[in-house]
Amino acid sequence: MKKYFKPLMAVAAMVCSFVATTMASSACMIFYYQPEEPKSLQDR
Amino acid sequence: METFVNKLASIITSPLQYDEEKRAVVQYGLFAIIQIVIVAIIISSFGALTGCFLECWIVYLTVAILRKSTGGAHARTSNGCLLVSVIVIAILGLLSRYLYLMPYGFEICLFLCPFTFFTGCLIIYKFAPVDSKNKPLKSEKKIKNLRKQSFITLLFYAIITCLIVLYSLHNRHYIGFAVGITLSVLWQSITLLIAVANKNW
Repeated sequence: MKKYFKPLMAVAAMVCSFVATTMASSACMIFYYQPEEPKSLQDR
Repeated sequence: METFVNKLASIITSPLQYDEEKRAVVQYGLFAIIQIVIVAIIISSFGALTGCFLECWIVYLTVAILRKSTGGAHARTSNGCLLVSVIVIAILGLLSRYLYLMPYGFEICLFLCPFTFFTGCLIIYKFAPVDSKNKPLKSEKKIKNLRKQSFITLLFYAIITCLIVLYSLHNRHYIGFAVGITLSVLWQSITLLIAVANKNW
């Protein structure tokens, strides 16, 4: 199980990053709370 | 919820030795996923208990998809956000499901659909997209794209609503789905007005 932990976390991080990038290309998060956007995803 | 998301993001990113910026991106995405899942579970449970499961999901998806391109008002805290989301989806889901059962309900729904949809479209045309302090919109190109996306989404909703209304003339039960879509558009346009009013204050 331990040897799968890191690849599993890598997949989880990839999915989260993908969702974050999708949210960054929209006007806001889909619900009524908007946390501060990371600098790398902000509109420049 | 922020504390929980923060801890989860640390668990995910520590073995991968991500820097602070990458960790922030993962946390941002994780926050969205958890919000989506929690609201989905709550409204599914509520919908199953009150017999308006499909209507709640139609409202949920309609608002979420439209909000991505139009923006709108935001709660100050994530728990406030959850509360508002769940309450609004529940109320609109119930209205969609049971409004047509009232006396003259079907006729009211037939009138309500184009009126609310048209009003929502006008407001969205005037104000979308609306940004927020935590997610400002600076790029003109992005703003133009988001406006275009909003109108395409609205057009798609209009076509679906018309088809549902036509079908509901044979089977009255389906008018609830059309009411759900149009009330969601109206609700989203109201949040736009609130966001614009907050910005001006």
